[in-house]
Amino acid sequence: MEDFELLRYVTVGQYLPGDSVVHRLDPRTKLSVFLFLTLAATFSLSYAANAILVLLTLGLVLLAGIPLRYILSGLRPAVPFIVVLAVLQLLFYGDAYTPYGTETQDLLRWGWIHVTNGSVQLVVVSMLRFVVLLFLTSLLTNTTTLTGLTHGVEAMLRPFGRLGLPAHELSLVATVALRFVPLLAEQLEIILKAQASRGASIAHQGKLRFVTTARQVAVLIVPLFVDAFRRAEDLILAMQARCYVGGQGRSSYVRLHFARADYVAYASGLLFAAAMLALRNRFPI
Amino acid sequence: MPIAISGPIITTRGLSFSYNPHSQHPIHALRGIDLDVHPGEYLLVIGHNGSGKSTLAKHFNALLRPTGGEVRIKGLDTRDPANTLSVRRAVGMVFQVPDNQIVATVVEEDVAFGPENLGVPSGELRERVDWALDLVGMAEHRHRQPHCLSAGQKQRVAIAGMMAMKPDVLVLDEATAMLDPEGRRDVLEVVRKLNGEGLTVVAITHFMDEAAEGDRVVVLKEGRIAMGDSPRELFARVDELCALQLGVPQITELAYFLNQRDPTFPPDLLTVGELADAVERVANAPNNADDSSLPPLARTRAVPAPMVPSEQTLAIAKEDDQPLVQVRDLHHTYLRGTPLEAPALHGVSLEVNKGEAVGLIGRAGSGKSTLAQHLNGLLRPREPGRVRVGGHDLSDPGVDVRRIRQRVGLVFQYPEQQLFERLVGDDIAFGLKKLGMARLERVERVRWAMEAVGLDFEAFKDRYTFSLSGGEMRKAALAGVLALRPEVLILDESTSGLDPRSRRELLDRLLALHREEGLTLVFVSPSMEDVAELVDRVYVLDEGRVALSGPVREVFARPEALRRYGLGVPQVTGVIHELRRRGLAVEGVPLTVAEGVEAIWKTLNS
Amino acid sequence: MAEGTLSVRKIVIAGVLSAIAIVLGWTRLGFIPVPTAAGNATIMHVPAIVGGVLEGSIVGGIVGTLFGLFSFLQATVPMFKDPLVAVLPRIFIGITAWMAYAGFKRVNEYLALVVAAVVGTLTNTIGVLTMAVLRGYMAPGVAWTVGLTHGLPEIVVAAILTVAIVVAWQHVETGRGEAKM
Repeated sequence: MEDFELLRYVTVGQYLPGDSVVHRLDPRTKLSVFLFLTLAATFSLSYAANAILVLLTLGLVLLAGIPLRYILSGLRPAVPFIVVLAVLQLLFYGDAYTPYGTETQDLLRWGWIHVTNGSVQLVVVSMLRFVVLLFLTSLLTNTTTLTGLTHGVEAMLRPFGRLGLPAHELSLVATVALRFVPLLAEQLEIILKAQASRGASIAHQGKLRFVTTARQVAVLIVPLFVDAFRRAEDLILAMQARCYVGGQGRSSYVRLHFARADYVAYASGLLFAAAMLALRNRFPI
Repeated sequence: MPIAISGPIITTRGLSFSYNPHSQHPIHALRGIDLDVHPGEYLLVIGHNGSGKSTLAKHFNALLRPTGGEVRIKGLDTRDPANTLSVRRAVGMVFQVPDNQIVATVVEEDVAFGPENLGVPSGELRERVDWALDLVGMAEHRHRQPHCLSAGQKQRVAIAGMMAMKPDVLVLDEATAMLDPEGRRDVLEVVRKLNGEGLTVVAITHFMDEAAEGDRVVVLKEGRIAMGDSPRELFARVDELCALQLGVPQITELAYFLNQRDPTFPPDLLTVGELADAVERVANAPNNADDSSLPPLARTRAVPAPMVPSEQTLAIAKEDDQPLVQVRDLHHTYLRGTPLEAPALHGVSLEVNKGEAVGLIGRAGSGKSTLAQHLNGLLRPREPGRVRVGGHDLSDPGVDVRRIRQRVGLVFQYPEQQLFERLVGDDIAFGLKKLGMARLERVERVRWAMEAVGLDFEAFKDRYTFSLSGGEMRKAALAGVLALRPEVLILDESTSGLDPRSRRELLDRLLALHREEGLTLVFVSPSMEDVAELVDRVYVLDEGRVALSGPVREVFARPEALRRYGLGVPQVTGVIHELRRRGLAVEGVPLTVAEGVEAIWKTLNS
Repeated sequence: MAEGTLSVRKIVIAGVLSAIAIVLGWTRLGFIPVPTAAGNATIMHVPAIVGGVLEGSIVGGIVGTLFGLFSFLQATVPMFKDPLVAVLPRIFIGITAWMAYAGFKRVNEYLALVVAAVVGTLTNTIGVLTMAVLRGYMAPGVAWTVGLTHGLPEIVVAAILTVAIVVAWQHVETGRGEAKM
């Protein structure tokens, strides 16, 4: 049986209301710390560094009051892929990856299979890093509203306006995008139903069974784009009618305020990440 | 230098505008318009799609600039780019599609968008936002996300967003065209209030009953002003308006025909109250009745509406004695099992017999579309609900859904949004190809379908789909569904956004298909007048339940009940109810102007 | 009226196209679930291509970046939960598409659209797979296989869609064709 309810497939990354320290931080702080820690995680290759990061982010997640089960439930459909990747990495990537800090040591060799301490490290580090980034994403998106994030981004980019960066314009792009996502999702559902009503077969069960001919895709995608552009033309007129002339000379209804906690968080995040990056090659394991 | 406002706030002289003026096919949308709009006026501009109304509106806030002639706002020439910001501050505009003018993801932030652009300092920003939201009655929704609001609410937010910029003029470009009757009512109330407080309003509309509200009405035809007068005087010129293929409010039409029969009856009436007054007056006039011995009509308590026996149209032959469509105890919940769960239907039962025309009415959100989508198998019934269509039981997981969708055609609101093929003929043939039909037969079906909707086969089949006009695209979309030759056609608000002429044409063609080809119709519509004209029986939905059902005359005999469900009755019927309420004995439940004239005439002469 | 590098038109179109990319991902309509570690993103990159073609490299770059960011934030597999794989290559989809389009536009409009779609899709596929290999999520051999098995159909679909969308939107065609029905 077909199921046309597209809104059902909402995944990780939604705002969970709450009152934790993390929730109350300014979006700019959260964005910055997210950035710092993501950089640190992306470039950390040692067991020790990744272990520290996991503990840190886990602590922050708990501090923010985000239920772990919520994060994990979003992972469930992906578990097979993760497992497959891990197995592949472990068994077959021995050649490709030199381990951190020591020499490659063969642990097992049999035909194509080539397990080394390098591939073991690759698996473990990949998984740890994955968990860290998962926690970081959750920390950012589950404790901050999307509008809060766009205001944060705009405020952070504003100083670069003097160098010619169109800060407000860019954040407006994000705002428009967020504004139109639910509208276009609804529109897509209508298009699905209308085309199905005239005989298109668009089976949609859990994971969408992707229709393999371009024509069948076009049945849905072309009307969606046409509708989106029509709306865009209307919005352009509306924004012009409301005197939008770019970021210069605008005032702001939403005001963001830094509190003491923000300075503390910002500074510690920056220092921590800087330390991790500077010391990335100095960890024992 | 702007001049002080003692004269008109907007003036146009010889205003002309052409789209693509230097191309091979320029479109001359405006051909020399001279128009003044005075401060505090409530001006209405009416005309067909394509008459230039929207083009004209966009000249008032410099979204378009004249290719000939001039437009001045508070004395400022709109052609001078230096004036653009001042012009747009003075003239606010609300557009037709509520969703497409809201920028932000939170209501109060969207209202702030305009003043932010003007650089209004932050203390004052808050004040303006609060004031604007109060003005339109949306203050309690300030933290909500726009896509969770109803269309009427969104439109009010858009108005607030404009008002927060403190304009002198508000232009409404078909701002009520996409609203349900309740939403329209709310928006018009706000506009009326604003105009009462001194705001100049220019409203573009094709709803004739809205036009009756203003100070002045201007009729555009092919880029020129064809008529311009106060509503009362304008609508009295029924012949001219009919020649322009514009409707008049049903009240005025009634008055016009009554006046033709009895010259003492005033022809220029606009409201139900006025008509009722006139009828009372003429009925009680001493030398009206032929039979002067008859006492004047006794003023008793309100005369209850007599139950009129349902018409013969109910005795449609029921093949196999089974209704073609049968719904029993249908429930439906959207997104069941998620936090966004939303119940839509609670135990709905209905029947449609072969060859019938059934209407489905109800306020926005009452469940009409949900119900309609069960009838062609898009949505499937859950226990204990059952849906049977032409002998197929939709609870059966193995049922041939394709076959059902061929037998039951569903046309959505704004069906032109489903077009995707490059060429019109191909798009109409889409469903037929899916059925595996041979090419020659497909071409014949496409030809038939196109003729049935009024698109010339040879002229349109090879046209590029997206180069068609809106009305033509709608016909093409409709043809795409008709081409499958369904036995039942469900139209879910498929006349939305059409001007009176196009609506008339569509309804006539539907009636023809119904009467000549026996097409069973399920007609969902917010227009009581259209429903009254087209269907035999009506189901009224309210909050997911069937609140009322029966032959159309029976249902429309109960205006108070309908009002409770957010609905009205055709204007004509409303007049009769009002007359009854005032104690005048009027027979029957007229559904059309013709019937209304007869009923009132009888009363006047009894 | 003076406007910055980003006109109202560009802002809105960039936003709307990004919204389409997000909707395709959010509703899972843009994905093929795939039995290798590669995963998805079959038509989600098309809005970036369309943005680059219609409005230039800045809009194309923005849409690609937002697509990448969304892909990263929403990812539930290690490979895409890595910004260097999910975000970095996507920035270039719209830019390379625009370059290709601008280059071939003089020759023929349709050809330019097709080439833009091909180049944009290749940027996405090659970019993502290269980063995946460099970061150790995939062996080079696997990457080649995935690249060919996904890449070729993706290119075809993207080309067809891009042409259909741009043609529909720009009313490029006036006059008549020949409906086959």
